[in-house]
Amino acid sequence: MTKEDSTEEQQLRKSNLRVAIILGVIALMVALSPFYFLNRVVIN
Amino acid sequence: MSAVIHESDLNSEAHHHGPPTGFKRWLYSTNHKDIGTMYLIFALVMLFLGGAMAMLIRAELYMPGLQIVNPDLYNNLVTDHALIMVFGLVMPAAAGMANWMIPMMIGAPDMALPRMNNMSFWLLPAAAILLVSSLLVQFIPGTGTPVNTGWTLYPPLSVQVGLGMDLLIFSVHLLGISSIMASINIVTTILNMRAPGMTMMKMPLFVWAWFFTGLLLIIIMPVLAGGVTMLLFDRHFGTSFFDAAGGGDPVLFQHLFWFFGHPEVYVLLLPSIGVLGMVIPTFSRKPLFGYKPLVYFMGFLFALGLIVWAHHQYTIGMSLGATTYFMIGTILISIPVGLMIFNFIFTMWRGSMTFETPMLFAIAIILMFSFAGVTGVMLAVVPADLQYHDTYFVVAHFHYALIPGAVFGLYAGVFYWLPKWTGHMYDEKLGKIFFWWTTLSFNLTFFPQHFSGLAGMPRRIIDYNIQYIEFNQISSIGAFLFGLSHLLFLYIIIKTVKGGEKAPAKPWDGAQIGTPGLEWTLPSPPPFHSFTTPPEVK
Repeated sequence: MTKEDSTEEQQLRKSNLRVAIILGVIALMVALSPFYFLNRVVIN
Repeated sequence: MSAVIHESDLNSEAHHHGPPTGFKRWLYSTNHKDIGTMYLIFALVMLFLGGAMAMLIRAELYMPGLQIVNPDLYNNLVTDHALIMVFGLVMPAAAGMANWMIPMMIGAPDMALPRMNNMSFWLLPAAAILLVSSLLVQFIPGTGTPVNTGWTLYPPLSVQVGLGMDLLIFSVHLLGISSIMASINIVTTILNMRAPGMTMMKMPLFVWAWFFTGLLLIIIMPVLAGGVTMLLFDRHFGTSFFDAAGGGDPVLFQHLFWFFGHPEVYVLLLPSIGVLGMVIPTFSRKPLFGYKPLVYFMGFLFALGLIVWAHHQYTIGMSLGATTYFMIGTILISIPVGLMIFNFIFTMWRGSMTFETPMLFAIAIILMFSFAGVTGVMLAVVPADLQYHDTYFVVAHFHYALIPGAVFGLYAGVFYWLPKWTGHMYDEKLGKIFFWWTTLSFNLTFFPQHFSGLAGMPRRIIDYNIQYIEFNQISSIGAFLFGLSHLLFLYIIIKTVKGGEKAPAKPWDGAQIGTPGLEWTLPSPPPFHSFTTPPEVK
């Protein structure tokens, strides 16, 4: 993001980043889920 | 949620230059069309690599006994053929089409996260090098057994094999990261970058298909990554996640793998269904029959696809309740898929149909994929599956699902959009020859495998009983013809890229019917920066 970017473009970029982070966090949680699953189902 | 960039807002320095020249154009590219082209070229290279492995497999199976390769190398070829075709061919080709078409269809200037787009692509060649290394490393003494597990990588065998498995695990990690980043990018682009007036329910079906594909990938790829990481830990760090002797359970890996593996089938199929949603209305000159229901059916497919994974594991000894649940869930999938096929047939009904190459592929997909659907329902039924499991019947079923369902869909897309991408019309006569050649040779290859499977021929084994010779020889001859047809495919593409009849902005006269995208408002080939002025959708 540069100083020359307009407010609208900055908002769009922020919004893009926000959606991407939400999706990324979902992916990360899913990646960790096998370990949770293992703990609950296999060991206990 | 759609946002607008006005021309006055754009940084004129950054948006009014031509394409950079030399290798930097490709290495540092953030342009969705250039990245799309790289994805497509990568997929084409992988098609020939994975295809060469298939040729070796079929050459070996031409006769019973050992001819060309040893059993371990054979099983390694089977493993890598599958992984290359799934992760190297179909997914990158579909991602290439998404990169090229989605921003143009929805009127976006580029993908939402262009730098991440670059990274998503450039992880792929690295992953491919690791994948090929996992095959080649067995020729170095002292590196252990080749990866003879099949693409499912089941432990305990995958814990015991040699160094190739580690390279494969790292390759899967890179492929996973690449797919997740590409999916995040595509979903964000669809949610945030649509032109004013391009509501979700005005988007072309291809965009919807990729929206669900992207969401699916975000949910399933991390599970595979987690599973293979646990495998890596079992191999080198003394854990027993999948080792019964240490309190673990090898069946857990099967659940993790198929939680990824079954929805992955829909990841491969959905983009092609999206292509059908573009091709069939165009060449039927009628709007898509039931656009909204088609979107909902894809949504059902997305949801159902996530909860039926264990139908790949009926033989492991699940409880009656679990097998019944997975059986019913799997059979339910035939409802949205069957309805989609009816929608496509009703789109053609009483249309002014013409049969250009993309349409021929679309019709062939409907026929042959429906056939795979029928064998799929057979396999979904538990008592029947116990007989078919691990036979060539399964091999025939999934090749009928994935070659027409995914690969032919990509061919339809390539022929449909090639004039838009290159600015030249492809040679229609050669296109039709390619269609008949591939379709007939494909059926010659895989149809007999239903019979050898039903007669009991097991899969993933280098040798077979002499009673299966005829079926295998027909399969092998078909496979060589099928493989050879792709040289014509390559020739058609090169010829079209190099020149030919100039393509207009809208090369197909039915392309604007129904719910088209904005791609046809751009010249062929489109300019380096697609929309400098945001288009309005009424």
